[in-house]
Amino acid sequence: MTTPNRPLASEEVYGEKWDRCMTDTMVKAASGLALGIVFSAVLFKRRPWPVFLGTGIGLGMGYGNCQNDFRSPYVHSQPLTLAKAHEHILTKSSNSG
Amino acid sequence: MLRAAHLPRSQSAAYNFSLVTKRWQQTPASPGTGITASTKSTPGSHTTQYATNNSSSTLKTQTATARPSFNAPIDRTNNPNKTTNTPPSYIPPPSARSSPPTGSGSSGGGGGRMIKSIIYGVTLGLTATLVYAEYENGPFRRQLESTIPYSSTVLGGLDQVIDPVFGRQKPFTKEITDKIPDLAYVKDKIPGKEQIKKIGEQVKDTTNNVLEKLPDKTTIKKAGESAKDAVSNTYHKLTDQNKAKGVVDQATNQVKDAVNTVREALPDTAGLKKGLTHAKEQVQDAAHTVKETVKDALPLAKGKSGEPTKKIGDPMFLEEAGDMGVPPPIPEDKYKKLEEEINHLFAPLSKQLDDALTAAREHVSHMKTLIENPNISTSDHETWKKAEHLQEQARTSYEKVTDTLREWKNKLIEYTTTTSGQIHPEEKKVDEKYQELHKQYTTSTFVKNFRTYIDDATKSFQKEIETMFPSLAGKNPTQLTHEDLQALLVHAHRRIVKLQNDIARMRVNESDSVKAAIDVQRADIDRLVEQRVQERVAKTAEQLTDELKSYEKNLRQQFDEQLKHEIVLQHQALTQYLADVLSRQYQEWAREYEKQLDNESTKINLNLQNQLRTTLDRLHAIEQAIEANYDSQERGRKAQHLWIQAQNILNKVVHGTTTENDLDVISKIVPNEKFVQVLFNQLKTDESPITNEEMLRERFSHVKKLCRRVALINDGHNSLWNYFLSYFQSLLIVRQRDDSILVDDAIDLNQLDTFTILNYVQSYLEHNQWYNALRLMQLLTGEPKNVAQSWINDTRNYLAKKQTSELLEAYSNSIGLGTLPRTA
Repeated sequence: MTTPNRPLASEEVYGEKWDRCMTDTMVKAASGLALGIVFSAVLFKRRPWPVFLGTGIGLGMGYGNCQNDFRSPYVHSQPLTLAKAHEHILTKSSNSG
Repeated sequence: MLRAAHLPRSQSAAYNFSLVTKRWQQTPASPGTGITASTKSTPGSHTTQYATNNSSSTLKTQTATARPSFNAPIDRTNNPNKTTNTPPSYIPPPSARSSPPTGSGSSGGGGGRMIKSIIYGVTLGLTATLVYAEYENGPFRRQLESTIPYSSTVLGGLDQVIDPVFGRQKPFTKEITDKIPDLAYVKDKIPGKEQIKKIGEQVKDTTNNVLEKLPDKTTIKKAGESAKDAVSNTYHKLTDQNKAKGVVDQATNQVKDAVNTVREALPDTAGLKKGLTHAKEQVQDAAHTVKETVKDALPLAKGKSGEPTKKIGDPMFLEEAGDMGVPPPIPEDKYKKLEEEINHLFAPLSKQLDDALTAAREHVSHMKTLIENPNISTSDHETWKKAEHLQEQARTSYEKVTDTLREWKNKLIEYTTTTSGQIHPEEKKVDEKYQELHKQYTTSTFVKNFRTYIDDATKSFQKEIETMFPSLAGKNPTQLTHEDLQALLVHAHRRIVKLQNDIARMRVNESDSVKAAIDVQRADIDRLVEQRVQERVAKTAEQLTDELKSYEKNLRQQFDEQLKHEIVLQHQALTQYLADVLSRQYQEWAREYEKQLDNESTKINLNLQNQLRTTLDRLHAIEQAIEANYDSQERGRKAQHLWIQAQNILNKVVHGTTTENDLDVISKIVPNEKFVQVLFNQLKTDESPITNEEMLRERFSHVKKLCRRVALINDGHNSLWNYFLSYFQSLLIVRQRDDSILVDDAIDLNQLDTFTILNYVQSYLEHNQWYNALRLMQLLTGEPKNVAQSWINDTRNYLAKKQTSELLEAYSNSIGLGTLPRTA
């Protein structure tokens, strides 16, 4: 979501994912609750089921989002620097030799 | 339920079978593997069926014999399974199962039966061949005996049994030898094929030689052509007169040569003829000798009856009945009578012979005297009558003798036949006398007519005289008859011839006499000449000897003078030679002396030079050593400096505070070292974030926590529920303090999972084994791997940097070690 200033360590990705997930789920649940309340109040004569429905929908969406986020393929940060260094050494040796 | 898709072949089927049996042994024991046992039962049944179908009998016997004790329980457990599962097309396994021994027996029996049948067949064949050979008793038997070694003994044994029984007398199997009956004496005498061949070849050789001597047609042609060429050349060159002669000569020579060659090439015709005749004669002789010898050698086929057989020794040569050569022999008394008769006849016969002989002799002597007496005349009748009388006597006696002799001869013939060839002793005498008589008688008959000859001769002479000189006869020339004229002409002609002969004779005589006279005169002259010549020769000889003497004297004088001269010259030459030799010798010695002198001087020179060089070298070496010392000290200082700096860098790397300045300082210290350059570049270009060990350790603890929390998440589709479960698991699993990894480095790769890995890595890190920790961390799988990735990378970079700086330090150490002062 936010472009990080520095490259993230892989262990922090996990944490960040969880943060996002939590917040997202809470937001969705809350919004679902709210909508449910609204709908139950407005349309469904103060029955409780839209509230639960809304909350459930919100939770479910959040859960699904969360799951999707976790399943997304990682972009592994390859050790490019070492590879580059290797190339340097090889070229240097060929030049000098 | 698991089922085997493809049934394996026999080997693996047997293996499976063994496995299956093992499993069934274990089935009541293990509950955990109960499922696996039940799953294995049905494929096992199928495999065993397949084994019974396809595997060899030996394999089955093996397996069957190897586990005989298994058969009984297997039967019991198998049958219900099999009856439920097997389709009807398969061979019913109980029969297969229960009859493995009999099946093996039958199959084994099948093999044994095969062998037996083979053996029977072979023996049958052999006996059939032997029986046929015995029966046939001909070429087949012989061939068999020749090829197969002991068949002859076998067949011989059989022969001994069969021959008396079936009445076979002569063994045809014996070889018909090539010996013919004994003809040794004949063979020796007969010239033999080789000799005849030789003779024939000789003849051939002689004819061939003769033929070869004949030149080829080509050579003859060549000779002719050369002659032709010569002739044509001469013809062409006829224009030039001068040359023509020479050319003609040449041509004639060439032609002559050609003709000679041809003639030479041609063999002597006489020789040719001789050769041919010789050859023919040889052939004829040879044939003749052959015929003769053969005739002699062959025994007399026809013998005469009564003769003992002499040459015939062999019954193979048949005797034919001979002819009747003579009448049968006469008995002895008759023989005696004959002899008496002959003796009786002998005396009168001999007397008669003598009488006849004397008569003949008388007559002949008488006639002789008559002939030799020139004054005999025909009118002397008495003597002539006597002669006639004598002759008559002789004749009669001769006739008588002949008659008696005839008788005598007949008797003699009889006598000879009776006495088988013996000759009467007096026969010889009689024969001699008779010969003589015969001689005398012929002369007497011849001489008998002497008188008539004389008469005839006188008459003819008279007639001739009358014709020549008709006046004597009293006739005129005109009365000459034709005959007289002819006789005259003949006489005249004869006289002419006679006169001509006389003339010729006289001429010859004249020439002879003249020649004789000339010869005499010549001889005289020669004599005179010779005399004069001799005188002259003597004179000149004297003169010449005088001259020679003087000449000799002169020569001697000259010779002496020359000798003196020569001696003088030689003396001079010798002295000169001696002088030369002396001078040369002197020169040689002088040269040698100089050479030695030079050698010595050069030696001394070289010595001095060497000394000089060595001292100079030492000087140089000392200078170099000093410089090297200085260099090494310098290097040592540099190395120390480098080392210090390297240590500095290392520390900083470890603690995470490298700066550009440090690295630049290094490049300044040792600008020429390549290795340092490489390392330095590596360090410079290393863009990884600066870390140190503390940070990495902290991060590791964090990473460990997270990894434990996501241990169950793998790379597949994971739901949040899995996340919850793995979190729950992480709460439950307690870390085992396992430091065994530090002692025993062996890791069982089959039993790695996140927790164990993390444990190991923790223990490694606690003991500062970063490399092992890194290696193990890389073995994480799934989500923990993703979580730990950046840590792994950072650790790797850090470790790489550390390694390079350590290399630098080590290198500086190595340099430094080289430059340390050497202590003894």
